Amino acid sequence: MKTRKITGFLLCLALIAALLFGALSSTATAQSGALQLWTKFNDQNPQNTQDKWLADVIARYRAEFGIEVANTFQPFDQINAKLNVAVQARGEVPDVSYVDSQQLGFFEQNGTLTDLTDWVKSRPWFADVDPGALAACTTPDGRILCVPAHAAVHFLYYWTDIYPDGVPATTDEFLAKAAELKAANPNAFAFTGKLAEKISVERFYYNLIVSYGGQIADSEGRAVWANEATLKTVEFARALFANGYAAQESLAPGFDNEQPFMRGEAGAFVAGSYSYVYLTPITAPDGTEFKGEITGTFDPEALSVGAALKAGKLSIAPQFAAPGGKPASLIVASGWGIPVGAQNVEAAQAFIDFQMTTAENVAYSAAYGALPALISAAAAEEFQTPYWVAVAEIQREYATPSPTLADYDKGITLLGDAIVRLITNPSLDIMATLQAAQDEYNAGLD
Amino acid sequence: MTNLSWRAKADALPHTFSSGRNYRWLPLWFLLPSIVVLLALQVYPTLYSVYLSTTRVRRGEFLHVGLANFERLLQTPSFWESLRVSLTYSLAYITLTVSIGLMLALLLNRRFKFTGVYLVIIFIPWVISEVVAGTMWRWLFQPTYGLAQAWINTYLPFLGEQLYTTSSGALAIVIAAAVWRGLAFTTLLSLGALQTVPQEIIESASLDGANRFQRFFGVILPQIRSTVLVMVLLTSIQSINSVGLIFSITRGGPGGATRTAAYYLLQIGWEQGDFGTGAAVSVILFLINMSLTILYLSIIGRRRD
Repeated sequence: MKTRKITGFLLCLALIAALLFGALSSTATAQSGALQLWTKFNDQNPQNTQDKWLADVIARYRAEFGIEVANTFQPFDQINAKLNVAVQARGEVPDVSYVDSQQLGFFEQNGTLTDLTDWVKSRPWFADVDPGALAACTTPDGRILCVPAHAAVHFLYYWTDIYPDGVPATTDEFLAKAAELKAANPNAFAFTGKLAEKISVERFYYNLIVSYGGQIADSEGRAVWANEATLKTVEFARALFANGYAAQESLAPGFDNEQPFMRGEAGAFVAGSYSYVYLTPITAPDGTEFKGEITGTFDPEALSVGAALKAGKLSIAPQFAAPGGKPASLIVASGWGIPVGAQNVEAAQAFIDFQMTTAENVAYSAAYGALPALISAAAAEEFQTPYWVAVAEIQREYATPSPTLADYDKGITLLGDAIVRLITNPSLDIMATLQAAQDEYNAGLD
Repeated sequence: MTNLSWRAKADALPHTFSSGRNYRWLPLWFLLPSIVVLLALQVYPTLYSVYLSTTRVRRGEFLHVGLANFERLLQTPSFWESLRVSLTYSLAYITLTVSIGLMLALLLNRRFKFTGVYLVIIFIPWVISEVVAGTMWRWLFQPTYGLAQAWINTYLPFLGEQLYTTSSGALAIVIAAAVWRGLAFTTLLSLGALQTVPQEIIESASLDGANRFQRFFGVILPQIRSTVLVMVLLTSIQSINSVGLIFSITRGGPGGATRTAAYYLLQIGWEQGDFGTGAAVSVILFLINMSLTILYLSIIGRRRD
């Protein structure tokens, strides 16, 4: 009997020990000496230029400083939220993490990121940072919460077969041209793009609203999107779908919206300067195929778009503007942040210093598909090609800062959903639906 | 004979455990590991959710706000909309999964050729991950190259050319995918229950002139009522908590048309980082699930009495 009693006791002890070991070993992993990094890039199974860049940079960092970097891949649409969850839960937070600048308000509200103001201002590269990019990482009260690596804008890619004279500049002109195209080929689409879910606001709707002279948030972070500019934007979007000018994939989740453009069925495609990385292989409306050296799903060197641009089949243009207005293009910066609770702050700062050298900044920006945050890097040869010169011009002329929504994700989700409901249900009253979404958002603010 | 031998063993126990008082707690010691696991993985998170639902995070600090999260949530139109979607989704899912599962089980219970093969085929969707299944259904209904959508366009054009990007169409696709996946569970459970129904009773009913429907509703169904109620309970909880399929098929879209309350919780708590409101949603869902469980179990208990 004594044996049974001891066995029972030992079993319980073993279970408790296993639980404790599990908990402690995960902590031990985080403290094993490697720099803990979170990015939306997968260095373990590289599929595109960004993943490849990270794998290379980790190897370079190890070779140069003898420091291991352990990257944790996080999905692009979850990395910011997961970082915040890790900090709030006081769990395993990385030493340094990729962050999106448009989430700055969210990070500030939740106290997710360490204030880097004094440190950033003391760095040798500080004077070389583009002021616009730095502003994207700075809170309204002047605190720098992240270090900008590069900035991307949103515009139209278009097939020159469909638009030999360029994409019409205004919404009215575009609708007229789209009607012509539809009459000539009922199976083709004048346009495709991400027009559903929260990303649609960043890529498309917000830019049009700004072009129509409106805003979606005021300086206090409250929503103000129930206005004439949004109404006109919705009317334009409704016209795109009601007449079959926009591919239905534009309202689908994920990135199926790219397909009609990649197959040459849609004439224009709204996306970011980084989107070319994913556009492979692509087929022009006349059937000419452009494909890079495809490995896995993606074109690791992003050669498809490059080849199409070189052949004159593909071009880029600013987004549609309101009649008589100026195009707008949301500028978003990717940055490096040090979360609150990071174990190895000095190592994180050293890694950021390494990233902010001109050569590294060029490599990261080119791989990502965005213009570098360092002025010296932007002057590099890689960014003097016709494509990047055109991107830089769009950025210089039409860049529009992120909306100042206090609860950014919630705000753009509510607005995006409201617009999609208005498109899929044309009998809904536009202003009443926008007002309801706006009231819901504002009621949620303290 | 068997009973006697167990009784004999039970009688022998106090003699074996000569110092009985010391062993009074022995069963608890054996239960301790599972109790610890339950406390750590079920009870603690539940209680912590209740605590979180009374807080809001501001600049990294958890502020106590009492019931303000619940108050605000109950005044939020999109939350009510998500509850409405949950109700539609759950009712359709439970009705279709249980009824079709029962019908399939009745067919399989007739023991014709290759029953095992059919069972395996029915069981396949259950073992496929929700993300894989969801992606498959998403591709099937792609507006321009989806196989199922192409068939619909050819043979059932009245259903619409763009099911996937319309509110009701997207919800119908999500429900169809969930039913397709959940059928294995209800079919197997029903089949197990049907095989416990004594064949003699059914034969007697036949001899008394009962037709198929009378046999099913008058004889078989009362016999398997407890199993059906358990199926309804489990499918209710499954449907209320369902997230994976919706995430991989529609991500709650278009425009929130397939956003159930559980998906709303994911969006609020996870994507938007509003832990307080997210926890409040989870508490409400927990209460709904608990109420349903108590209701069903009390019905089962009443029937047994």
